[in-house]
Amino acid sequence: MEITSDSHVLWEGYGIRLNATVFFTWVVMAVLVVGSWLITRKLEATDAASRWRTALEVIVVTIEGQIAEMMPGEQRRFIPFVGTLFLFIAVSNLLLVVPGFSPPTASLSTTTALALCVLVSVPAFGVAERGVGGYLAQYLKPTILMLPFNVIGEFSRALALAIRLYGNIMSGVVIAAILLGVAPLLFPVVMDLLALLTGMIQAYIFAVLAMVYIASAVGPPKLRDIQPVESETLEEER
Amino acid sequence: MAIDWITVVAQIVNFAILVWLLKRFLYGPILRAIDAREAEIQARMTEAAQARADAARQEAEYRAKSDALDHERAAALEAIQDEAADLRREMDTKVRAEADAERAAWSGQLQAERRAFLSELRGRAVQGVARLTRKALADMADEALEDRLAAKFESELRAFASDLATAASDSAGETAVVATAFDLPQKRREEIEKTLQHILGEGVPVRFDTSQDNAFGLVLTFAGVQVAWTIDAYLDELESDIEGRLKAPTNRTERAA
Repeated sequence: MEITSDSHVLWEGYGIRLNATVFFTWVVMAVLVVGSWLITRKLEATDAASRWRTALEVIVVTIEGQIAEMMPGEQRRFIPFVGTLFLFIAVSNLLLVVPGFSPPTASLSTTTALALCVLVSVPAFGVAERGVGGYLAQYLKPTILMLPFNVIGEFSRALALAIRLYGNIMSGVVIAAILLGVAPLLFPVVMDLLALLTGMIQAYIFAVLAMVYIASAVGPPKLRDIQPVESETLEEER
Repeated sequence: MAIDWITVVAQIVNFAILVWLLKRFLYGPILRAIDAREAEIQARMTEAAQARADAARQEAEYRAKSDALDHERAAALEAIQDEAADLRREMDTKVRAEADAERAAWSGQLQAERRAFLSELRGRAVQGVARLTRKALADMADEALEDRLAAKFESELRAFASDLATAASDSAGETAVVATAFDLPQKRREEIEKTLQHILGEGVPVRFDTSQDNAFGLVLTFAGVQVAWTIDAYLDELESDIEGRLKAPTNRTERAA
């Protein structure tokens, strides 16, 4: 039994090998991009909201809300990265129910790639926000003696991200495959349902942890990023 | 559990492309649409608040205008009522004055007609009584009315002889005037003149005044003394009786008016 889809080569030629991981990643990308394009291609602010548009708005606003809970203020610049992490992982895991589909997130290569993206994006956002000196200075806190541990921690959490996602998704796929051989009726369906739930949770955890790491790198929000609370809102809360 | 680094690189590239594509086709349009809708809602809220404020201001203006109109209308109504009351009083006074004038004119006309009627009645009564008495005396006693009146007048002169003599003694050169409504026979004139001169004195001139306007009978006027023997007393009683009968319906008419 194949533990990873990387070794499952679908097409080879011109010195290029197309494995299942990349192919199904393209499938997920196609689903996301084409779906978004179909819904938003004729989007006007004054249009009556369709159910698809409303669904997309709910997803985007929810992502924005989750980011705002961790980083108060205007943090829309994080939405594309964090939101794409969540959507890609979530859709990959949801498509598990499609027969023949092998979720790319069950590949350690994919999760490693995502973790590397997080590993790079964290200092990128931190430098963009605080400058090179400001970002690097946090590795010296609370003392310069913590520098090696902070650097190790930076890489270890990226590694933890990759292994956690890979382990959870791969284990679900493997367990479903094993149970399919042992008890082919009903039981794999239950496990697939459990894998769907696990997949959504893992997508959420991956995105939230990425946001937490970015938030720690960016630091506390500047006063200009915090929206003043309207007096009407305070009255409504009272 | 091996990592295919070529796949890792490919997945990193795929992820980067996916981030860009979703930013281009998902987050950008959706966030812009949300912002636009929020801006539109905010604009509508502002517009609604402005419209509400305008409505409140217009309501206040219309309420003030309505109050002013109410006050103006009340003032105009009061002025009209006062004017109507003044006009009514003026017309009432005018009508009362006209009615009083008409009533006075009518009453005066009635009084004049009554006086004319009584005067004519008095004349006709004198003529009738005289004609009837004259005829009765002539037919039944072969006497003339004028003779009997003159004879009776002479006896009355003698009854007041002392008074007439006293008046004659106080006067000087006055004429004794005997007024009659009919012509006296010459014989009677001479007898009366003789009697008067006997009472008043020989030098007192006597003049007879005969006119239809004189009272029916004989009246002597001399030096402020008057001796009369006429039927005026009867006529006065008759006139008083008739006037009393005429006044009764007149009073009822006046009360009805």
